Amino acid sequence: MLSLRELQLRFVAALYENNDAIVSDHLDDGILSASARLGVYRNNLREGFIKTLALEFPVVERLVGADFFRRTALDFQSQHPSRCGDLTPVGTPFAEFLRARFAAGEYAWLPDIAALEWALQCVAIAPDCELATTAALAQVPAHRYPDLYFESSPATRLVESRYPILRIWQSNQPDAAPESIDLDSGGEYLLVRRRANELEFVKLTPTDFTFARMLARRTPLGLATDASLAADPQFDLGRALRSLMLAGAFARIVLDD
Amino acid sequence: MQKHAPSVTDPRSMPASAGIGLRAEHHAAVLATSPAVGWLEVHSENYFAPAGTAHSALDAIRADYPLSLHGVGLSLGATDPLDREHLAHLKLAIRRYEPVLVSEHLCWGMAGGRHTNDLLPLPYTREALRHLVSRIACAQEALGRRLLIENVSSYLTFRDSQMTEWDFLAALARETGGGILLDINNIYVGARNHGFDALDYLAALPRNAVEEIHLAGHSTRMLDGHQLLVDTHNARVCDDVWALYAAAVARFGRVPTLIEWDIDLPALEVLVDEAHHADRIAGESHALAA
Repeated sequence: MLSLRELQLRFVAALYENNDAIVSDHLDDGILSASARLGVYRNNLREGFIKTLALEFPVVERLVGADFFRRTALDFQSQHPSRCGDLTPVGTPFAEFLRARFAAGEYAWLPDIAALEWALQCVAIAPDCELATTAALAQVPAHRYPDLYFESSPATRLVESRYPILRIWQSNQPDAAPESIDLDSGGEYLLVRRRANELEFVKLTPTDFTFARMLARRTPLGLATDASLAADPQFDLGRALRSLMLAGAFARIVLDD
Repeated sequence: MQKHAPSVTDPRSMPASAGIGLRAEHHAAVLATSPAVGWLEVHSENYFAPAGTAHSALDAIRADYPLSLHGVGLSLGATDPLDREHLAHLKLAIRRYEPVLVSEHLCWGMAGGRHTNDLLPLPYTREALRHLVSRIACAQEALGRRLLIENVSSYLTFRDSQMTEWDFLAALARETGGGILLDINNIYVGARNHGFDALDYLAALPRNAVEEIHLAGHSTRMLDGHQLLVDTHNARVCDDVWALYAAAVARFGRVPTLIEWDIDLPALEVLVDEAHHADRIAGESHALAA
């Protein structure tokens, strides 16, 4: 008799690796074969995963079609099996998985759509928090501004693409009219946020996006400003910072002693 | 649809009447119509996220209904270490919603770090029983709450089993002092798939151990030319399961009874209608038994 531990390891391996033989000797046959019975659980394993991924990435599914999405989801599952009892996090590495697979081909834009959908998922369930205000910023002595850094609001994400991902996403919503989109019509630089329970997009300029991303990575304001000015001499720090704060990008302004 | 009368039901105590499984698709309808059901049950994992629309809805709904948190992912029967992060999320959900009942399943779902996110059956061995008793005690201590444990549907059995499922469940209830959440549809599905008598199952359980009942629909799948019943929660409760429910009420008395529906969700009214039917059957069966 196998230990409970060994039996469970074999059972899960049989489901994930299509290898019924490693456990079937320990199952009753009855009218149905052990393989037929294991097949019910293997089907649950696959269908539950595909269904969850499709709920998290509905636009990706719509763009590639249900059959292609199923095959891709199963390949993804074999590399990234669920690691916890709640299926919600399974989509975490999906955009990077698609990037590795499609980076060079005609679907090179697809990983960015997945990244946008995952940002929406994360923002939708992120904790609420107070936002940093321009009034709080005004209380900081001007000579300390270069040392400031910012904590991002959990209910925001930054997403960039050299493709028009927001237009693609919007035109693939259930009630949207079909639209032909030129993939070379320009990239998008987005702050995705939740206000109350509404998900919103704030379009940023490329320079403001890079500035915002530096601040999100806790780059001190002085360094982020210098880098932004080096990249774009027209960069307007006051306008960029105000617009990001009004967009709710930051939870806290931090000044270390 | 009848309006629910919040003054009749105290959200802090669980009535021995029928409730419904609340899914996100019905949040708006429940808020708008306050259906006349005794209580509501939600899947614990759907409320693990820190925020979001699900919380906003349940925060509002919860004021008027007793609530049960029903977990599907704790994997009490697994031999991987108990997932402390999962327990922490569950504890937060319990603190936030103050459910009257908290339940999990008699199953496992992961091994070697890979989850199946399914309710897998256990081999009914003495080793598995000792393991379950220990894990339930750990989980209850971590949560600071007593758990009800639900029997699951199964599509296979293990050669190494040393006792029946019902003897295992009865022993588990005795040794943990915990309550049983008895899923009547799961017993029926198991009885049909494995060829045992569902009434034997009911007769083996201690009369006072069953503290909640689940009812749901199932579907039939043909495999190798044979029927297999699958617990799909996508249909009304079938007549055979209603009859088994009546037998369960006669044995265990009236306990909180839930109508579960998870796939191809119908209008809220259908669930409420099923709940009212459960109340009628329970009333008649209980009166006859008395």
